[in-house]
Amino acid sequence: MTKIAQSSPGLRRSWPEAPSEPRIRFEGKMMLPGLILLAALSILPFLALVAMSFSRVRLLGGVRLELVGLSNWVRSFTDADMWMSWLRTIIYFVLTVGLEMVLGLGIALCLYRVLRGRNLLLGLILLPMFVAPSIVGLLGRYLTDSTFGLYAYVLRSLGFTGDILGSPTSAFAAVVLMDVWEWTPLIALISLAGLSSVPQSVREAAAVDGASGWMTLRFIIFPAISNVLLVALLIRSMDAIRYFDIIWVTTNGGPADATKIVPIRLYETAFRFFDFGYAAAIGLTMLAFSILIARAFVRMLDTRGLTR
Amino acid sequence: MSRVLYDEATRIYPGSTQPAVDALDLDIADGEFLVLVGPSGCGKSTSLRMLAGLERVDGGRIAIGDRDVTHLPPRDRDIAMVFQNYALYPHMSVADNMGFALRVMKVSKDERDRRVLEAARLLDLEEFLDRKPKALSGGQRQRVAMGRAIVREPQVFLMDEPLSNLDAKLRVQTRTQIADLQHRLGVTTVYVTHDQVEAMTMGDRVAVLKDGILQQVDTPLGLYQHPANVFVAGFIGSPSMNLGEYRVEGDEVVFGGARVRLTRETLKALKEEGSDRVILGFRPEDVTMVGDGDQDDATFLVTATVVEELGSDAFLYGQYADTTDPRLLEQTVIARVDPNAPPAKGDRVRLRIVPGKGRLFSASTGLCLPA
Ligand SMILES: Nc1ncnc2c1ncn2[C@@H]1O[C@H](COP(=O)(O)OP(=O)(O)O)[C@@H](O)[C@H]1O
Ligand SMILES: [Mg+2]
Repeated sequence: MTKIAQSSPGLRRSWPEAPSEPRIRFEGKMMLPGLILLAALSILPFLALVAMSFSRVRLLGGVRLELVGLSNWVRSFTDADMWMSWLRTIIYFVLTVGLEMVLGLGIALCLYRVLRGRNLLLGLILLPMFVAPSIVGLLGRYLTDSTFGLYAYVLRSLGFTGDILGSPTSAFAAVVLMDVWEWTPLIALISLAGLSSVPQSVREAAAVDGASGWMTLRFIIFPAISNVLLVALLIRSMDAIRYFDIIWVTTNGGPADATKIVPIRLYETAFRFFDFGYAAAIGLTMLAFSILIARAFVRMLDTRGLTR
Repeated sequence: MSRVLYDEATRIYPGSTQPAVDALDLDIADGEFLVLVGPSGCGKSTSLRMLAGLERVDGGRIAIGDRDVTHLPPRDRDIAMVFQNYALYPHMSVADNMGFALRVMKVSKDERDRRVLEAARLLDLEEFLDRKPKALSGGQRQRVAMGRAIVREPQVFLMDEPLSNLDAKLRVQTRTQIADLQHRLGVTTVYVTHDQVEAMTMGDRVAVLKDGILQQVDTPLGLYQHPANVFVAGFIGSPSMNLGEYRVEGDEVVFGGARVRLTRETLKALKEEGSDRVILGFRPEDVTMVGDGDQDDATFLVTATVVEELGSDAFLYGQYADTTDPRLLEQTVIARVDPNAPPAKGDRVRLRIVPGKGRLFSASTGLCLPA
């Protein structure tokens, strides 16, 4: 987008008769099928969503929209429960993404040291990533079950007697850890790729320059792979904001709303209470939030000259 | 600034039985510029990396100054290395690249800036100090790599083919600059190259390696004039020495229709060896063209197949004309001829080895025989 915007004035300056006009029209025609598909798949639903967020949606006797002005929006910004959900989403986001980055990078650094059998090890470590999130949830539920769960048993022998998914803090911790379990390998994989792209000779140069292992990591390796890490962070962040599956399967948002992050509340509002107008407003807020975060990342990548 | 000592230093890479460097013995004096030269894969880089601490030493020891560094990590060796691909830190500016080692040593910022600037002046890099390496040309990157080494003021400079990524002209320029710089700084330097011209022009002494084994260490001229064996004889000098294995009949070596007398010492050595064959070598500039009138037993006929005229020099590439021996017919004879009156392609030319300039090597061991 920015590229076209920047280059077209230049084009016009060098050719005052603007022969670029018909070309753009041609390009437009070529893009038409794609645009139609895009419109059908996302633009129309998006517009419908916007309309819904300003209406009450009647389902009985055929779908009807009843304009209610800003009331859905006002509600979504004044609803204390909603704010709690946002708070939980942010905590969930920071905890999962933070833990995944730290652990993933740590694993990658360890794996990088391993010379023999690295691929086998990597394959094993990657396994959780290939499990469908809802299966991870089921597995988690099984492992934390208070009567026959392995983790429940282990924790019990360590003195924790409660039901893991039954009390607010432990339930929240459990779903965070399940997400970390599933997605840390992805970060490890991406970080390892980044580490492998730092030339051997650059590390050796640092060693000859007198840098200790930590200094090499701090001054040479991290800056060199920071871009890759940023991309990994972006991928995980986008995912974490709209996270749903594991929580839905394990705690369903409970107990006492302890794990009710925004996506869960959104689902509930739409498909349990059938309050589609309100759900649309929540969904659009989530969209705006993700776009904001994505923009921040892209801005960061841009200043490093990486989007080109 | 220090003396560097390799004492039977050996490196055997895991999974291989043949040592990449086999019992290397080298004594490099304080302030000396020593060049390690040899064909690709002969173990030059390995030798250098052992000195840098980047490669394990499997046998023998290595000392810098009076410190045994055999098992010290690179950072405790006080050395600076210039890598073949320069290995600049991609995300750091030129100044940070050059100052990194000082930063690690916790040198104060003022002192660091002063030394970086000084080195940048020396290498003509002042205007690039704020640039990232990727915004530099090959030659500039090479200078940054040099600068990074100089700023350190280390005991030893190690350079692994630092010029091989430059174009031919820049290579020749930089060659003299490096040699000059080293001379001024007086830092002991070990320089690796596969290019014998680089070795001959830069080194105070040159060490020739082959298959991980040190062949000879000497001054460039010493190597040129007194090669210890056939390999060194053929490797040093361009165009290379004419070498061929011939029969000894009585007290003469017979080749291409010529008979050249051997000295008593040579004959004695041959007799001890019990061999009737010998390797004869002569450099292209050590033959003279003789007119048909001057022909005698020691002259031989050559048909010119190519004549290379370089202006200041002319080289004739030819084949023995006076023989039916297929092995001889395969050989190419190279001779320097008068650039003002070079023979034409296809001419038959009569040549003679300048007396005393032929080199004789044992056909079995390849070692130089006494003349
Ligand atoms: N990391 C390594 N592992 C195994 N063998 C190696 C390794 N590095 C070099 N070698 C082998 O050691 C020999 C010497 O290599 P090297 O010192 O790089 O040669 P040079 O620098 O003279 O071209 C070569 O035969 C090469 O194949
Ligand atoms: Mg090499």
